[in-house]
Amino acid sequence: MNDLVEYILDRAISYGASYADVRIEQIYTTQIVVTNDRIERVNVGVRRGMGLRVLADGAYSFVSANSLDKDLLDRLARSCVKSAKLSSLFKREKIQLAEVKCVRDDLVVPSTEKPHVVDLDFKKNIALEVSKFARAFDSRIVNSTVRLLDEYREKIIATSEGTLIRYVTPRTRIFLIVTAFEAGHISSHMDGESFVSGYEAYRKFDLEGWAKRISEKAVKMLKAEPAPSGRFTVIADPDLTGVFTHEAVGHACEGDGIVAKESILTNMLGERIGSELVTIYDDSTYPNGWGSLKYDDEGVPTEKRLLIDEGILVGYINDRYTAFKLGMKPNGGARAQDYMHPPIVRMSNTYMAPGDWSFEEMVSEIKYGVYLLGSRGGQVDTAKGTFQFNAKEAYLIENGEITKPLLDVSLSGLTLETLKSIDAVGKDFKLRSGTCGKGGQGVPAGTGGPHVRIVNAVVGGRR
Amino acid sequence: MMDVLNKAIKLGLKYGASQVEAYGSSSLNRIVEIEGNDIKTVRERMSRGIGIRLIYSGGIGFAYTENLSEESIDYTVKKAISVAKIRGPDPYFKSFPEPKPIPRVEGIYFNSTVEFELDEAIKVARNMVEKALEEDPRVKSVAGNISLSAGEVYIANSLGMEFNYRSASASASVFIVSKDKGLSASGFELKHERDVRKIDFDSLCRKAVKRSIDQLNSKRITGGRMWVVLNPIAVMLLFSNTFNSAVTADNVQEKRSFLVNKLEKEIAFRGLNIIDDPLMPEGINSRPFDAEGVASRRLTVVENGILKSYLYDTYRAQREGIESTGHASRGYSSEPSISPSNLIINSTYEKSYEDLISEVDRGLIIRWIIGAHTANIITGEFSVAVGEGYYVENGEIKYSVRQAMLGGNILDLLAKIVALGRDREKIGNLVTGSMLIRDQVISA
Repeated sequence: MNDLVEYILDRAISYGASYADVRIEQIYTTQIVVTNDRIERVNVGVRRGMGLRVLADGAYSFVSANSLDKDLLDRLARSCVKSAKLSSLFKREKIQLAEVKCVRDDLVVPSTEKPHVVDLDFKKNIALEVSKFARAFDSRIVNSTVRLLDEYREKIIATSEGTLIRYVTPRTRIFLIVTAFEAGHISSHMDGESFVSGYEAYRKFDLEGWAKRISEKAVKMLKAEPAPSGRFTVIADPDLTGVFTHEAVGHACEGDGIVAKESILTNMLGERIGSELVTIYDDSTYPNGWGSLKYDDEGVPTEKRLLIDEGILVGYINDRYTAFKLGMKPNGGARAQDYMHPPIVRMSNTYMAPGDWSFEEMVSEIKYGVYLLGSRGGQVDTAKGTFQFNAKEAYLIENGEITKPLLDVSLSGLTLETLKSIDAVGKDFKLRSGTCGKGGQGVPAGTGGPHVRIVNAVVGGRR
Repeated sequence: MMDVLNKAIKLGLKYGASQVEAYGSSSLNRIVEIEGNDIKTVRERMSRGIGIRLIYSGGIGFAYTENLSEESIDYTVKKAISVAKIRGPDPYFKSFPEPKPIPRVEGIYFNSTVEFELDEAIKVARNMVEKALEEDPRVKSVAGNISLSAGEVYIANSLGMEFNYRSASASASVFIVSKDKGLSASGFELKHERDVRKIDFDSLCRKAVKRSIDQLNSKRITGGRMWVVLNPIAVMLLFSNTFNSAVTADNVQEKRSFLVNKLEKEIAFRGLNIIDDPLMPEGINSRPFDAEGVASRRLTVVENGILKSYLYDTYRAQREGIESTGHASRGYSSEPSISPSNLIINSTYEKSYEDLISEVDRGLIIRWIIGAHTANIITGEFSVAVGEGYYVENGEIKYSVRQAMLGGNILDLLAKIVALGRDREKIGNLVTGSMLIRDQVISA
């Protein structure tokens, strides 16, 4: 494979590229879907291809193909350089890259039960078992759907400057969605677990306890009432805090949005943007983190990036281009979904650092508010700084106590106002896994933090 | 490609499968990306692969590959058989569909799109940046892309089916950020067409700039119950994250849908019709047959507010002993799933857009929604932020709204539609006018 990588880079340079990077990937994938006691779907297969990016005359161009035929690769290298040169004619400003050291490394994330080797039967039984545990919990559960996913990815990243990295990563994930029905009411709850490892992770995973907790919540939500709407004091659990940190702050700290002047945090380095209780990291080095990676897709070593230090904006996430433009150091922020996509500036594991409040203290001071847990995702308009996140679970807080369950509800706000409205940060901490979507690419990302209290937040209920 | 598919089918039969289906696709995507007032990158993606589905001892097996060598096809067929063995006999599966005459669909392949040169696209992109910056000095950042796709789909099975068709499409998007007096606002426009000549890049730019500028004078409002006008793009965002998956037979049969037991029942206001039309000329999801080779036909989904049909693929139809409605969709790397083709919403109560707004005493025009994908597709509950909204009082548009949320349930929303606007637009796979809806909850 190394020969092929050399060949592609060599062709690109010979056609006139000043710089080129290439990734070749082979990805074994499995997806199993079980509905109740029946297997609904089993998809297995192998994806294999290459993505080449070149810089010629100060313009970028990218080609990808899922064929490794040498003649085709030669043709693609030529057309890629040609496109870059064409594009250069119409560019307002030439691209320059920050210097980095070359890296040679061979990284294999260890796994004893590799996803592409483990028997399909074993995987199928995990999914069927989880579904059974979920339904056994309560007769009101009318559907349990389990999705079991895994991949085994072998990737080579190489640059014309001499970087050559082989990176092998196993990933396994499981999702459970439970639906409950009672007297015309419908409710659902879902959760997922992800491991950067093979199936050995399942040896110490309490599937039964996990499934039951999800079922319990779905049943509990049958009694949920519509949430109030308007401005309240809210408490976000670590999952929701993580999503807020990722969506509202992390995205706004991405170097591409800063260079393009799209982000609300453009030109704000060194300024106070949040309460002094707020410290936020994007940490690619977090042990076993879902979004952890040692090198990014430009072959640059990653790091633990401090973005907000006690309320002061101190850092951005950069790739080699944005680092050059901003006069900063590249910090390993370039990631691509797979060989079909070029690397773009992305987060890894984004979290708020814990403070010193206990959960009980936070709740006890609230007369009327909402406790929001978990997240089905969120979205942000980085230009306006408007964010929205949907909680998976919500409860009313009345006179310092958590009372009734509430129907699906979201939190929305303006990032800069909300960061200043955080008046308590918990001493607990949790990091969880998710997929971050940007520019049509999804990459594994970790999000986390402690319980956090926000005053004057907008809750979008239907009451 | 058809040769490869036939080879796979022969191999499958040879290894003991009772029926074999092979699906293949190939595509070329070319994209010019704009960011920070400049061309960011040019991308070209070639992709192809095949998915093999077969029946072995009554069980369904599936596997895919992107490597079309004989060796890899052989491995993939064997893999599909091993999957079928593990799954065991399926009680509902009867047969893959038989080949039947397929209709003609107008306007799904245009030379103009396929032959649109990359350097032309780069020029257009640069022009869009200049146009947007010239349009208004408050414009600070222009982003977007121009995308051109061409592809071919192949489907064959051991019952003698051998179909294929070519298609092409083009899209353009513009995202503008403008700033004034410390406030910033964004404006977004998107156009997706089969024929690239139908996209007016300049006007797209002008519209996006206007949207961004219009929002620079935003003000806070007081929340409460009010009337809402959902513009077509907001309708599309809400529908694609609720109704579109709730109406599929797999979710209904598995009770993962708020439309369970709603067939022949009133699910929307009496004047509402929803038609699924895979034959619509130049429709973005138009096609002569679906991903299993079932001939396309128009289907009435909702008529006068009454749910008339769910959407089926072959498997889900056989489970109820009926014919597939032709709604299988897939890429080569997965088994078919069910989704709408083009959805056309119309009504017996249609009014001009101006008349819709004149009916609002106090309310919001909502054009863009943030977080529509977090809607609960099982229950239909949603709680989203208003990305672009305008406050209306006594039938007059007052100003753009600084921050607001809309919370509700899609069935409740459908029931409270008052009228549909005649400002009909094609947005992605949805054709609709604006919806005037009474009594919605806005928080601010």
